[in-house]
This record gives sequence, C-alpha cells and structure tokens, in this order.
Amino acid sequence: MGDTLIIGGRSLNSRLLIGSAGYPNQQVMLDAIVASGAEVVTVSIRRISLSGYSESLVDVLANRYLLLPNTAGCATARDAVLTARLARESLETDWIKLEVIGDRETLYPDVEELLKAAAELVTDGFVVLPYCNDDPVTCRKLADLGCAAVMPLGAPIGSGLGLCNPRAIELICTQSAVPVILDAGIGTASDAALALELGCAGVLLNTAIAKARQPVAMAAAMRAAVEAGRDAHRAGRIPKRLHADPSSPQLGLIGS
Amino acid sequence: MSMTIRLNGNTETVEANLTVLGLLTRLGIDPQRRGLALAMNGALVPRRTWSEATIAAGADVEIVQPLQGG
Repeated sequence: MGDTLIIGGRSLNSRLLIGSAGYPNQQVMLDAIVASGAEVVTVSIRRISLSGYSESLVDVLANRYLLLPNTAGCATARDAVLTARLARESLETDWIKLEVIGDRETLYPDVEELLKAAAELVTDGFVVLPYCNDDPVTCRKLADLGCAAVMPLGAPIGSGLGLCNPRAIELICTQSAVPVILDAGIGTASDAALALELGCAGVLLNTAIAKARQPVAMAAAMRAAVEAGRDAHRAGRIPKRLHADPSSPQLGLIGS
Repeated sequence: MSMTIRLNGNTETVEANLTVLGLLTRLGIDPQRRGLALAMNGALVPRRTWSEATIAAGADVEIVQPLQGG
C-alpha cells in the first residue's frame, strides 16, 4: 500500500496503462480493461464519419477511466500540437500522450519534432507524456522541458519484441527525474515484469493484450506481471555473479 | 451564394456566411455530442465560440472525435 504512481499530480493505483485499439470487439476490450486493472486508457483523435452516427468511445469509457488521448500518426510538431488541442477540447483533459512519428515504416519518433511539440504543449499547460526513443539524452531533454513522464519504447510499436535494450531502459530509469513509462514493444507478461524490475514506474501497452489469443486472460496476466515486477524492484534483486555461490551452509557437511 | 471548403479532407460546397454551428447542423451532427472537437485552418475552434465563428470560403475544417488508440 502507499505505492502509488504519481503523474502530473494525479495518483494512480495501477501501473499498467492500456490502449483501446485492435480488440476483437468492444465487449472484449471492456472486459480486458477491467481485467487489467488499468485506470488510464489511451485513445486516438480522428476525423468523424460524416456518413452516419457512430458510437463514440467517450460514451463507453469516459465515466469509468481516465482517457489519455494520443497524437498517434502525427509526423510534425504542428500536427501533434493541433491534435493535442483538439483532444483537450474533446475530452476535457490536459493529459496528452505525445507521439511524433519520424518514419511511417518503423514508427520511430522524430526527436527534433517531438522536443519542439513537447516544449509548446508544456507551455500551453498540458501534462505531456511523450513516446520517445530509449535514449537517456532525449529522455533527459524531455524531462527538462517539463514533461510529466517519459515513455521510451521497449521495441518498435506492435512488434512484441519485448525490451530490446534493457540496459538503456535501466539507465534512463536511474537518471530520470520524472516517472519512466515503458511504452511499446511489450509482447508478453515477462516483458512487462522486466520493465518494472528495471525501475520503470509503469508500462503502457495495447497490442500484446488486444491481439493475444485470449485478450482478457492476457490482461489479467499483465496486471499480475506489473505488480510482481514492481514488488521485485522494491524488494531489490541480488547482484549478479559470474560463478556459483552455494546457498546451503558449507559447515557440518557429512564426511568432511 | 455558395462557397467551397475543405471538410475532413474532402471538398464540399456549402452556403456562404455559415457558422460552425450551422455547418454541424447541416451535417446532422449534434453539437452537444460528447467528444466532438473542431479545427479551422490549423487552429482549434473552441466549442463556446461555435455559434459565432463563421466559416470563410476555402476554409480547411477538421471535425474529430476520440476513437480506439494505443
């Protein structure tokens, strides 16, 4: 108890932030979110359909969860800033998951545009959570600009490769003045646990749950993994050794 | 009098001197609908100004709402 994640002055009991895209259907999405225990759910901001009414996600999610809009797909600071402002108007939240994509194939961030957008949005009063590279320098610059957290990628978005560079993630966690949320690349529960063990304050994931064979069961597994990883981090892992160190007493061995 | 605007990436012909509220009504979109937001020429048009904000010929209008996202 008492181990809450604080972002932008808001306390969260769950360290798992979850996306709302790609589920087999809406009911599975809702059940998976419940099973995950997440309080924060990400959404995108997109053009409405002009050909007829479609139920808005706000209608089904907004009263139960803190919706975190993203700027996914934006390729320039200008588009990301406008999307953030539209999101604030749409959802009446200052929180924004800032994504500025530099390459449509790999979905790696455009750091130059990301920093520009982050600076503008922080000045405009947003609680900025930037999706960024697993680069300690970029993360430090984002924190210095006033971002409420940094969200380095574990691996490319949707790849499920896990944490490709755990040493860099650990270094970012050690140095960061703001919470580090591992964003993107999680494939299964052990990846999420590792992120927390390395010192991440939380994980944000979508595809690993939405595209699992059983999304609701995977959501429960992710919840348990995040809690276990956090507990292990707080408990403190033993130092790694190159060779064996017997755990049973060496004295009193028969025949000696 | 009619004019041409860009609406969510498509070219549309609408009557001149249309307000944002008038455009939404014309499109059959309930302006009270939750989650709605609108930008014109790259700038947010706050909901509270929709009844006065007029749309100029050639304006680039984007109407958005939250959808699934990661």
